[in-house]
Amino acid sequence: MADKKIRHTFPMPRTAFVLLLACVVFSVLPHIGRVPTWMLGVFIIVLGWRIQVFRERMRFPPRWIRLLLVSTGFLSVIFHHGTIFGPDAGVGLLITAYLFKQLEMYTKRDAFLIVILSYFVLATEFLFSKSLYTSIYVFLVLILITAALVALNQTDRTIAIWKPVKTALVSVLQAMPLMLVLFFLFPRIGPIWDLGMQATTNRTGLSDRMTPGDVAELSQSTKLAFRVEFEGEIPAPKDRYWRAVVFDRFDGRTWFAFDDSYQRPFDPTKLNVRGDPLHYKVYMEPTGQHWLFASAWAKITGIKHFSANSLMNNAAESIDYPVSYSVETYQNFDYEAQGLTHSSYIHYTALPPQGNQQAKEFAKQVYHQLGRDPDQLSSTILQWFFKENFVYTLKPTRLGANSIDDFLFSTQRGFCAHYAGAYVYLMRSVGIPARMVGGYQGGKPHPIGNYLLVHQYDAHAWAEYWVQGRGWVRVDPTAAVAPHRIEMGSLQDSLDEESLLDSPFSGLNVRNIALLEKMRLMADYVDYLWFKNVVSFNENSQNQLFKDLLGEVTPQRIAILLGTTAGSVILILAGWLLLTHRPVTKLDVFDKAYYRFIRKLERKGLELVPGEGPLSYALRAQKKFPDQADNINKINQLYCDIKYGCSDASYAESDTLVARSDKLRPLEKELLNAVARFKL
Amino acid sequence: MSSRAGNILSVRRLIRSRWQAWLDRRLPPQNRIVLNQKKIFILPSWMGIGYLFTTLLLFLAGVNYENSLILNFSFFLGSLFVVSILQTFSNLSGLAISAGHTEPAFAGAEAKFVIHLSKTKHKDHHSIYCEWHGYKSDPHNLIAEQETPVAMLLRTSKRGRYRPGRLKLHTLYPFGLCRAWTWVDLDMSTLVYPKPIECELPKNPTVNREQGNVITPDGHEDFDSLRAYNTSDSLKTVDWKAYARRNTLYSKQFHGYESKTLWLDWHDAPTSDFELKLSYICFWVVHLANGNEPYGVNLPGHRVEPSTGKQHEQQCLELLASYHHGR
Repeated sequence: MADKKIRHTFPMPRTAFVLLLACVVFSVLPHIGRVPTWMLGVFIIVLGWRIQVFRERMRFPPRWIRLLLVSTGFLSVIFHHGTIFGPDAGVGLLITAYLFKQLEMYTKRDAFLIVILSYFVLATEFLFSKSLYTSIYVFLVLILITAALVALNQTDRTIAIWKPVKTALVSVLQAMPLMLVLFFLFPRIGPIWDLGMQATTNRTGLSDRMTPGDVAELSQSTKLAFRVEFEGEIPAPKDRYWRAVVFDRFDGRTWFAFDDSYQRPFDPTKLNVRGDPLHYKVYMEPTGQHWLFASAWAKITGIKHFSANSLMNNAAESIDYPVSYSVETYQNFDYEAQGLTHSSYIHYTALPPQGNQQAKEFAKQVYHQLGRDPDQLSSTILQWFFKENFVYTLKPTRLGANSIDDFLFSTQRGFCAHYAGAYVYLMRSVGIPARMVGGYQGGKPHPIGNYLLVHQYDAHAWAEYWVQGRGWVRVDPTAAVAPHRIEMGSLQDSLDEESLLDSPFSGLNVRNIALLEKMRLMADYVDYLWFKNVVSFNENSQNQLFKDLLGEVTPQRIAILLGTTAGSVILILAGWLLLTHRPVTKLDVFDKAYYRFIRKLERKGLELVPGEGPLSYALRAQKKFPDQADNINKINQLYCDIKYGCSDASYAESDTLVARSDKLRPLEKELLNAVARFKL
Repeated sequence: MSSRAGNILSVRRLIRSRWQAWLDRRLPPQNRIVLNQKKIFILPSWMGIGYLFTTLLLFLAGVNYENSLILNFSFFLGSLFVVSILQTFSNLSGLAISAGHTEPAFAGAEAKFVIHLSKTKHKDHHSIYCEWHGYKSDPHNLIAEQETPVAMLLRTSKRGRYRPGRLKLHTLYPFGLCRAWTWVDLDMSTLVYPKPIECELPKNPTVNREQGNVITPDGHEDFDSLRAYNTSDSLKTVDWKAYARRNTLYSKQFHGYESKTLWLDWHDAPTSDFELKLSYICFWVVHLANGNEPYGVNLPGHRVEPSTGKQHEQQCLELLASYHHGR
């Protein structure tokens, strides 16, 4: 089965080999996490093998070994991700194939294929991160790959390694203007078909179910969740609630975001708004989920989504990469104030019949005492949380089968989901429609930009209950826990590792150092600007741009705009590349001056005949312009003296070159002045 | 079937002749050609097509994932391709190609053609390949040097004047995505001698009264002896000094040197085939050129007087190369 004939590899220049290896390493580097860990060892062996082949210490492995390696690699990647669909698995497979291709570099074509694949592997990094820092990294590796391509096509083996890198750098810079023209003016079109992206990672932050009783420790991450950019004032902290998901179903232990909310659309007729609208823009990091972050009732534009009756907003596609959208909202609004439908009422008061009896009884008892007033019940529960020895902690005790009872009457330790969940349970026990809401609360205003930074550690759960005439009312039971009883677990222990790529200055150990904190915020600001102006540049922003540039937007006008700008950019580049090189015969200052003189005469109709010398030309010029005869003669004499030696006898005696050049210097000045003064 | 094939063939021939005529108008034969916009052709290479395909894939990915940055990556690759077109073009433009010397060859062997590549502008030219009649040169670079000679060995087939047609110069530098090329006609040609075919030498040495290494009486070169004057002797041979002493007329005797000279004669070649005869004679010439004995070539209507040396050999071979019936 092994190769019968020994195949010789094409003799790759050393420069090309080094650059090729470098571009393989740097293209794969950001993707390291997307292949199983044990594969990394294999890859290092593969690269080492490739180096040994280049040094002619080893041969490429026979085909059956290569096939075995590739198929093992593929299977392990599929096993690792549990799917062959989605960007992670896809990129994993691509990288596996790409790396094992190293062991099959026989011809120049193979090497070229690796370069092409490098571009591809590098570009896929944008599926996972779109930050400015990723883009800078990609740009640098882009130059490296292009340099490898140049090195492959270079045949002068003596060339130093920086030479192809320089060529590549120049070419990449030359390509930039046209790229920018295309980026801004090439008509954007919507997705052509659905790729069925199923993200398997990026599920950070919230999920669609919550089991507070099973959590022994809530880990919190300093990762950015989203940014909110405001046109005007940033709202006060107490109003910074960003809803994402509504947990409306409880099975006695776990809260679910039930699909009812996805199926029943938002009904605008049940909405009343008062006061002034608030506008803001959200720049979301990928979540792998569908929900969008916004205030309670929000009109979202700029992304395909579905607004549900529960006031949740779900994007049509899962958010697997950063997105942005605009929001219009009202601080004062009511929804479904006139009454709930019967099915809604049932849905929002449903509880499992068994379990947590103690809490049910407690709620009914209190409710009766308060004269069946929902608002009274709500505030009583909150006061109870405040007065009783409830503790807010990130390390709650695990709860037993009756998790609500356990929490309320024995442990009394928990985080937001415990409080919100217990609150909703108590409310529902007496037939008041209530639901738990998951989202983010707070956010830090950025010192420079007019936006809020909302991090993963701002994740929060709160509750909403329904009152006839007022609709849904927001309540934050956690806020009722006495502030002095809040146990912050040391954040340091509970932080996720973050990739260095996404934010160069992140990391909690520097949070206390003011300067570094400043730098971190500065870096975030730059990244935010990048997001706002580049990453979020889509169909809408382009239409706006076309309106600004063209007034009336028609396909013809767009075509003309794109054609003329791209065309002129290419023409300028072509002119620069093809016309700027000086001819090999060098002209000195005096030649140039003399040519200027000739051009002055040519403009007046005295063409220089090919092959004509200065003397005969000067004679013809004197005949044609007798009034300028002296000047013409003088210029011609000076030029001939400088170029061909002097007619003046005194020069012949000055035998040294130095002396001669001393004598010539005044003549040179004189010639330049004479030409400058010469007018016809 | 055969007529159809014939039709296709004739159509192809027509296209080819049209193409050649167009090339001749656009790139007329010259001894020195400076490449400019008019003379350079450029198209994507196979690698370039693969690259464009990748660009298209990334474009579709960018559109479908609504990912600005991937989209921009594909725009970048597209722009780099445009830059590649211009740079590859620029790598050839401004290059001067001039005809160098040629060396003749025997039919079937390789004739050496030398051309010179030189800069006309202050820029480097990288990785330039020359192709001529199936011969592919190594890549040439004009980086530090102003000029470089390219020697090419072209396989010849027929006796006579050999014109290898158009020379193709092409380059893929810097990215290998586009191939820029040109077809130039440098108006170069060389003689192709007949293919030497071994054959017995003719056995008719004819006496040749010129220099040689065999001493022959009645020569004119070195003084030999005196003898009594015959009335037929020239007065120039009279030894006047001896006459003054003895009052008798003596004639000086000289001897000459002569060699066995071979006339390589058309009729001695043992065949009736025209080309074969020339091949035999060609073999004789090559064989005799290694010795010191003079030889001459005698063809109907043309002859080369006997002599020796390189130059003489070349003269003979040139005659053989360009000899035609009845001329």
